[in-house]
Amino acid sequence: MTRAEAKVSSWESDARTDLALLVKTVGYEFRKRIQFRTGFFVREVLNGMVQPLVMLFVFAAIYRSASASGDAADATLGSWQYSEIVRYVAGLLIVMKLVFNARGLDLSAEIFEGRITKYLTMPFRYFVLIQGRFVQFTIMQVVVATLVWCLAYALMGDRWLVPVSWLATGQALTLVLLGSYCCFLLTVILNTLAFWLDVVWSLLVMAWFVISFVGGAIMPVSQMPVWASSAFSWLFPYWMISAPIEILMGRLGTDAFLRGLAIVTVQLVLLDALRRFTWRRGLAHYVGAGM
Amino acid sequence: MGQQRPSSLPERLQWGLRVMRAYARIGWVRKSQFRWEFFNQVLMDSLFYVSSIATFTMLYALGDDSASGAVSLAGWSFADMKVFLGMTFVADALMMTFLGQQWHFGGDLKNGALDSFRVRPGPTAFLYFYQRFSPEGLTNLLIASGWLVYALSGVVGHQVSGWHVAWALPCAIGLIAFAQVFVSLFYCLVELWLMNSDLGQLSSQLFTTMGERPIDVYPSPMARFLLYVVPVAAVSWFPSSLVLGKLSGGFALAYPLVLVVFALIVVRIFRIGLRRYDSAMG
Amino acid sequence: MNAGGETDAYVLEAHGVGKSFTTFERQPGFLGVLKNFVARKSVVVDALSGIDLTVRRGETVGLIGANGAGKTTLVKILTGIVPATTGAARLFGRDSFHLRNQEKARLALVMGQKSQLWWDLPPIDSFKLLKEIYSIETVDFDRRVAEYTKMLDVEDRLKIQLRQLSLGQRMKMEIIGAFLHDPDVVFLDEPTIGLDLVSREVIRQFLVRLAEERGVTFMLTSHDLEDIEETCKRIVVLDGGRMAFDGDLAALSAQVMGKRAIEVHVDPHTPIDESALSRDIAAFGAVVAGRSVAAVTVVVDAARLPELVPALFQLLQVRDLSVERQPLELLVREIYRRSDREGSSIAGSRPEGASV
Repeated sequence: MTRAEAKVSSWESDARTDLALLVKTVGYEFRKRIQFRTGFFVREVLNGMVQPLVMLFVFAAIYRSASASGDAADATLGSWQYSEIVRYVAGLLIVMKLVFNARGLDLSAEIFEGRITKYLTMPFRYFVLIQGRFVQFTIMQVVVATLVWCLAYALMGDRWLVPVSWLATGQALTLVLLGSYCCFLLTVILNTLAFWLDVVWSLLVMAWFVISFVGGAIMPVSQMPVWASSAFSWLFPYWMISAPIEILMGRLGTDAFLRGLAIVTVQLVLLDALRRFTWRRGLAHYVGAGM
Repeated sequence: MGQQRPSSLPERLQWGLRVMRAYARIGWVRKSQFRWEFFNQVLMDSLFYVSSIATFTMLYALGDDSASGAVSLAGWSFADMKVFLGMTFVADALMMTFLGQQWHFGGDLKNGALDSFRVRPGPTAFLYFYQRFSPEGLTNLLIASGWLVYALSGVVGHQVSGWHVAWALPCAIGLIAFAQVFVSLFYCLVELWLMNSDLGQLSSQLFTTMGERPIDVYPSPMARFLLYVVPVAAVSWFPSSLVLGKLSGGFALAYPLVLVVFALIVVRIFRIGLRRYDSAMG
Repeated sequence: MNAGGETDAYVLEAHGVGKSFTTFERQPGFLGVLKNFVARKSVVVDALSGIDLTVRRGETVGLIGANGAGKTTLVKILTGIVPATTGAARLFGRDSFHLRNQEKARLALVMGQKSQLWWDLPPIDSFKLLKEIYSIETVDFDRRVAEYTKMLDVEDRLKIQLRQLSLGQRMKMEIIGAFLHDPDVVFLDEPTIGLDLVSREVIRQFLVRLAEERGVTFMLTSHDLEDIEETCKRIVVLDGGRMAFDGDLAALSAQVMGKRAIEVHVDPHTPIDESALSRDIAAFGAVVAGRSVAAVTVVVDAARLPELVPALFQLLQVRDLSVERQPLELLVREIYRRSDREGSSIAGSRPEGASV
C-alpha cells in the first residue's frame, strides 16, 4: 500500500468511526430529551413561542394607531401590511424552533469541571459528540416545527403562513439550517473560551441578544431603518431568520436566496476555522480539572 | 449558647437586614475574584436595555410615514414608553441584584441543594433566595435608574408635575421591589409543584416577557389576568402608570392590597409545597 | 449530660418512621424510552419503614448500613429536611418537619458529599455569614473559630478559597462551620468519606472531645466502622430501610472482644484434611473462618486460646501464627445476614432510654 493509499484508508476508517459515533450520540441525545414528558413539551414544543406572540400584540397596537380608520388591517408600516406582519410572526414561530440555541450545549461546564478529560484519551474526535447534539436538535425540531405548522394550518387556514412554492420552502429551509449550524459553531466557540475564562454564559446570552435583534426575531429587518437593514443583510442571522420567512412569503426570490447562500457559506467556513483554532489553542491551556 | 435569637418583629427585621448585609458582603468578595464575569454581566444587561430601546425607537419611527403621522402603543406615547422601559429596567436590575438565585431554583430542587437552608434558623425562602447578591445587578440598577431619570425629564412639566413624581416615584420603586419578590416566588412555586417540567422557567419567561410591554396592548381578559392573577403588571405597568398619572386615585390605592393578598397566598402555598421537596432522593 | 435541663428528655425520637417516594420505571433502549414517553409505569420505593429510635441528650449514635440502607434518608427526616411518609419524627420534642427557629438554632448538619460553605470564598467569609444567620456573639465567634481551627489544625487555611483546600481541610472547615453556633445536636452524614487516615483521626478526636466537654448529642453515619468505634457509644444498623440492630457499641464490641481470629500459616505443599481439622478444633468451640493455599483462619473464644494454640501446632505444619481481634465488620456482616434471614430487627443490649 502506498503512502497516499494508506492516508485515504485511514481517512475512510476515521470517517466510518465518526459516522457510527454520530449515530449513537444522536440516539443517546434523543433519549435524554424525552425523559420527562412535560419537560419535553415545554422545552421542545413551546420553546421560542413567547417573544413572537407578545410582539404580535405590540404590532397590533401600533398598526391600529397608525391606521386612519383605527383598523390595523388598513395600515402599512415600512412596506409591511398588518396581515403580512401576522404571517411573519407565524413564520418566526416555526423558524425560531429550528435555530440552534445555547441551551443544548454545556461544553463550557465540561471544560471548566474537567469532564472532557476522559474523552480526550478515547480514539475519536470529541467534536463528533458535540455535533451529535446539533443533529439530534435539528431532526427533532424539524419534526416538531412540521407538526406545529400542520396544526396551525388546520386551525387557521390561509391566515397562517403558507409557503408560496415548494422551491421557496426548500430555499428557506436550506438557509435556516445552514444559519443554525453557524449558530451552533458560534456557540461552540464561545463555550471553548471556558479554557481561559471562568464564566462564559453571559457571552452566550449576549450573542443570543445580538442574533435575535440582527436576525429579525423582534421585527422584520426590512422594516428597520435602511442603514440597519443593509448592514444586517451581510450577517448570517438575517439569512437564518428574517430572510427565509420573506422567501416563504414570496417577498424575496431566488436571487436573494443565492446571495444569502453565499454569505452564510462563507461565514460558516470562517466560523469553523475559528472553532478549530480556539479548540486547539484551548487544549494547550487545558489543565484537566479546570479550577 | 452565646446567641440571642430574634423574637420580636423589629428584632427579626434587624436579623434579616444583617443576613442580607452578610450576603451582600459575600457577593462583593466573590465578584472581586471574578472581574470578567462582573464586566460581562453589566454589559449583558446593558445590551438588553439598548436592544429594548432600539426596538421601540424603530417601532415608533415607523409612525412618521404612516397615515396618522405618529403612532402610540395603546395610548402610550414614545415619551411614556421611555418611562415604562425605565421601570422595566429598574425591575430587572432589582431582580438581578437580589433574586438571581431564582434562575437556579429548578436545578437546586433536583440536586437537593435546599438541604442546608432547611436546617438553618430562618425562613428557607429568605435564606435561599437572597444568597446570591449581585454587585453587577447593583451596577445595572444605577444604569437603569439613570435611564429612568432621563425618561422622566421628558414628561415632568408637560404631563406630570415634579411634585407628583417626587411622591409617586418612591412608591413605585417600593412596589416594584415588593412585586418582584412575590412574583419570583410564584415562578418557583410552579417549579416546586411540577418538578422536572421546566414549567417554572416557561412561566417565568412567558409572564416576564408579557410584563415588559404595557398591558393595554393585550385583550381585556388577558390584561386583567396580568393584573390580578399573576400580577406582573405590578412590576412595570402599574408603577409607570402611577408616575405618569394615568391611574385613578381609587385604583392606585386599592391595587397594592391585591398584591398583599397575592403575596400571602404565594407564601402559604410555597410552605405547603416544601413537603414535595424530596432532596434528590426520588 | 444535664445541661439545658433536658436530662430525662429524649432530644430525638422516631416512632414508626417510614419514607417512600414514587419514581418511574425506565426501560432501556430507544424503543423503551419511547414507550416510557407514551405510557410510563410508576414505582413506589420504600426507602425506610417502621423506624423506632429514641436518643437522649449527650448520646453519641453511630448509624451504619450499606449503600441504599436509608441512613441519609433517616438523617434528612430527623433534621426536618424532608417529611416522613408514615410515623412521627421529633427533635427537641417537636415535629421535625415543623421545627421553629429556636430549635433549628440548636441543630447542625454536616454532609460529607455536599458542601455547605461557599466554594469560591475563603472559609472565614462563610463563617461570618453563619455568625449572622445564627446571631452568634462576636466574642464567642472569635473564640470558637480560634479554638476549633487549632483543634483541627487548619488555623493557617482560614483565608484560602475553599476550592483550593484539600478534601480533608474542606471537611474540617465544614465541621467547624457546623459547630460555630454551639449546637446541642449534630448530624454528621459520612464526614470522613474519602479522607486520609490522619484527617480522619483528627476529626474523630475533635468529635469525641466536643461530645465529652460540651455534651453534644451527635448522630454519625459512616461506612467506616473505625469512625463509629472511636466516636460513638451506641450503634444503629440499617438494612434495606429497616432497623437491623440498635444497641450499645460496648456490648457489640464485647462480642468482638471475646473472639479471636487466628491466622495459621502452613506449608502449601502439605495437604490438609479440612473436615478432620474442623472436627478436631470444634472440641475447643472453634470454627474455620477462612482458607487459602498457605493459611487457615480459625475463630475461637479468647478464653480457649491457650488450649487451642498448642493443639493447632499438633494438627498442622505451622510455619507462623498470628492472633487478632475479630474485625467488627465481620460481625456487622453477620447482623445483615441474620436480618435478611429473620426479616426483623435484632435487639442488642440497648443503653438506658434507647428503644427499638
